[in-house]
Amino acid sequence: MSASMGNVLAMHIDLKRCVGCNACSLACKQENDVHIGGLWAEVYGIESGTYPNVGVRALPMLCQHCDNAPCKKKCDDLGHGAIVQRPDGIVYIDPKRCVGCQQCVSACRYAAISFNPQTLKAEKCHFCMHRVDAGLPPACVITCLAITRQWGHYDQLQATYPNAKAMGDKVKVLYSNLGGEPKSGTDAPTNGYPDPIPFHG
Amino acid sequence: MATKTITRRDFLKMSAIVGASGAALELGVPGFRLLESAAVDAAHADTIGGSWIPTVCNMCGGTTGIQAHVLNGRVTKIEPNSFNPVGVCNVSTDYAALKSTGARMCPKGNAGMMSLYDPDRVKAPLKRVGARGAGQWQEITYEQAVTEIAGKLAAIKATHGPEKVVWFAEDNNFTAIQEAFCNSFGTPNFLLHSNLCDVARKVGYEKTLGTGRPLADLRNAKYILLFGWNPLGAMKWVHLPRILVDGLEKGAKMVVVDPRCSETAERALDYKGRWLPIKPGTDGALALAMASVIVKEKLYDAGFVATWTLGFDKLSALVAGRTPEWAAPITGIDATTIRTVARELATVKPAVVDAWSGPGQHMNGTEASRAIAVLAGLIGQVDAPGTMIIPERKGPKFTVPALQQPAPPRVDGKGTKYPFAHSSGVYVEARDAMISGQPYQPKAAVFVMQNFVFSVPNSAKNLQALNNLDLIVSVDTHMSETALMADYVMPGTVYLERYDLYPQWVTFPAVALRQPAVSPVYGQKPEYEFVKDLALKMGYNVYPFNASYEKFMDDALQAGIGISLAQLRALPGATWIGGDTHYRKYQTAGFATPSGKFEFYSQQMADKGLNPLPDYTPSEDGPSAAYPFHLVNWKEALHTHSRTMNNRWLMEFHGENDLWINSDRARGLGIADGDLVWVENQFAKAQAKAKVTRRIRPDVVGMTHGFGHWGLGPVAKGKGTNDSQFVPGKAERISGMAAHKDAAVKVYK
Repeated sequence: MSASMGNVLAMHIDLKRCVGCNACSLACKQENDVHIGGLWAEVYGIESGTYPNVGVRALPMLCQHCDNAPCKKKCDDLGHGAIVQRPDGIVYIDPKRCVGCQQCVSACRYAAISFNPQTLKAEKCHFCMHRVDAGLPPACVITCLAITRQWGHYDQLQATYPNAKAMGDKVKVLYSNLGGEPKSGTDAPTNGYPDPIPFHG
Repeated sequence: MATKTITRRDFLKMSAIVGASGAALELGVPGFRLLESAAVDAAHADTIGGSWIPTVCNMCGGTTGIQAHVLNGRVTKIEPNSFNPVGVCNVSTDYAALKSTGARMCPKGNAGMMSLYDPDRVKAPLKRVGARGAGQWQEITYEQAVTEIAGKLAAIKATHGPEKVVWFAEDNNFTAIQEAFCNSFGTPNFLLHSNLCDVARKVGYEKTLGTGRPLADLRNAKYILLFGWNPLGAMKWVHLPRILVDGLEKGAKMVVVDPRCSETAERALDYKGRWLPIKPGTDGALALAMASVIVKEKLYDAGFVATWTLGFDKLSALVAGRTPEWAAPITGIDATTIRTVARELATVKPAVVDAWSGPGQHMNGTEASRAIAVLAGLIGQVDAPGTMIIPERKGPKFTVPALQQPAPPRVDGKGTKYPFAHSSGVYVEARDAMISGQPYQPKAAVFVMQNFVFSVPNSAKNLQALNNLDLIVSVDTHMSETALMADYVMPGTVYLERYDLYPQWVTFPAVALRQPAVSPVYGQKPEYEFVKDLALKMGYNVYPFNASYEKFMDDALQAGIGISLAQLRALPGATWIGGDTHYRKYQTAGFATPSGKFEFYSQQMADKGLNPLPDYTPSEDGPSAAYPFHLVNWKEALHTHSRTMNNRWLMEFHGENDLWINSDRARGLGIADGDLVWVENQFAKAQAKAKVTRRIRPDVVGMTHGFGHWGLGPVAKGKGTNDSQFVPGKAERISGMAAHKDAAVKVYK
């Protein structure tokens, strides 16, 4: 469980409810006019077990809006300062400062950043900050078919979903029913955890 | 497609150990305080200003309520419309409780702009030059197109008779004006696409409980048994994921019967339910075996059975011989499981037992659907909260000219060869008539929003059929495989450019207006205007052709629900709601069957020489020594039939289909995940990309339907594999249902 994150904005996603439909992916694409080839929100699929005792989970992924984000650190170290964290926790890429070096893309362990070959800038989820600033939730939240997503302040969400977990330290997406323990060892090929692939391939 | 690969190492670092599962059910979006605005370099500054137009989506036939944001004559965003209940749930009490949490919209609806502004759309009327199918076109004016088409139709009528013109339409859009034309023209052959879809279910349910489309109250059920239905993937209505997952979160146990572990079967497993991997086409046997247990162990609802059903004794006599031991080798589901599920179904209430096109799209589909339908009556779970509900529907009543009697005989055997064929007719039979000339040789086909070549099973036969016609007219947004075979292609509209009226598929009366958000992008006339102009050119200067389309809708609304078009438009979300869900309506009105009862035994079927009881007969065209795999197909959330494969956004997320093959079988054949393999039978041979998975029966392979285009557009062309080419393409003899899922193939590298 992460320590208190105060009043920053966050998202909760319940993986048990998720049906892997990609409505979130398309809502994001539509709302932010994401270029063809840009992936700000994808849904991965995890299969396990053996026929007919199978396990399948869909895993929606987006930028985790980390504090001390590796992408921001890399961009700062390179002197560009194009990745900015707002007081409310939202991390965004300022296209006016981005030089298109793509170092942030490989710095992100969540594969959340896309490079736009038309604008030659890096891009990623910014929690629909233009909507947020107008008092609206992010586009993915309002479209989700199985009502997996909630939006609000981190502490409020953590209190509402006490068993929700994050994928990393100081990130802003809380997942209920996240993951499962590898069966034996960590990276052993027989631990039943295949590489996550897009749910619909 | 654009994908990011996360390595296992990274993912394992991300994953956390799961604790107690199941977050508390939390509906709604918690409020949050407005924060100080930062200087926002918004991607959509143009969402400030403009207007929101309430309308109805048509990325599929689900008629989700939407609102389109329009600025300077362009759609810039599409969002859900909460005033249309179909985006929320399907019973009125739930709608009252949930409306404030907002309606939802699926991935296809979110991609609507990419269909509207698809640069590959047909932009102008086209006339074929060169050989049929050669792909050479001349752009002509709308007036010339209407004149020539009308002239040719008139000539065919004069020489061969009006019945030689067969009209095929998508049955969700502006059907009344098309029916009006066909009736005025004098052809009885007005066919709609439902018989490619779910008429086996419709006929099965209608003969049993009097309505063709009961709706499952999934949100309030405590036991859910689904045969061959994937509401969480092939979602017919956008409310289905919410209501089903809510039901599961509230403790419902779900059992999903499917050869494949679909999205719905996955959720069943995750919520401690079951996946029964059944042999394709044997669902009727499974249902009868469950009935057998329920009758033998006296678990049926004796009161309901005694008061409200017909034929219990005859059904009991039948199922005495249809035990779980009988069904196990047929279905591949062991007898113990069959017994356990049957007992649960009968004792955990309220219960939903439902079926869709899994059992339906086989040569025994109507019988299977009936066998499943009767289970609800046996356990007394009908038209009550948490069960199969008979919807009350009200909607527009269009007045159209009648088909003059005596009318020529139909080409498709509806009512004769297919005694209980649905009103939509039988596409397969019409196709076969084009080849055989029996009962007569059609001369012309008009396709409105139909990709006949791709949608009727057995693609090669479809091409052969069309090559026998003198005249083919296709009204379409894209150069589909059918448009490519046409003499004339008229540019169709995308839903954001046109009108329509929709009774919603919820259990209480609701009617929504589709209205144009923008005028047609290429200045083309909506399909209903083309039909009207064609009629006027033919000399039918009568209503509705000599009235405006808005008047036609206005008259229909007044006649059907007593409001005007202007009033409907002015309602919040342009949606009219006419009452609440009512339960146990049979107590006052009976069931809409000949006897007024829930019929286990159907005299009307006996009268037509059919088995009055829903016994099991094996389906056809299954595996053989030469072709050892059943071939099935299914639908998914990201695509609609064969229609959406040129949508650039949707194709980013699912850009090609693959052939699902069981991991053990694949290993035995030396097939690894991602390998290109040959799929072959006596009808076709083609390559497919293998998806090696644990999620499908070892004797079954399958893929999502609708890929493998050679037409439609450059984004669609060449992507994936067409499953229909392998299907023999018969029609089930009772309902006329196209048997898409009766096929067998061999697979090899």
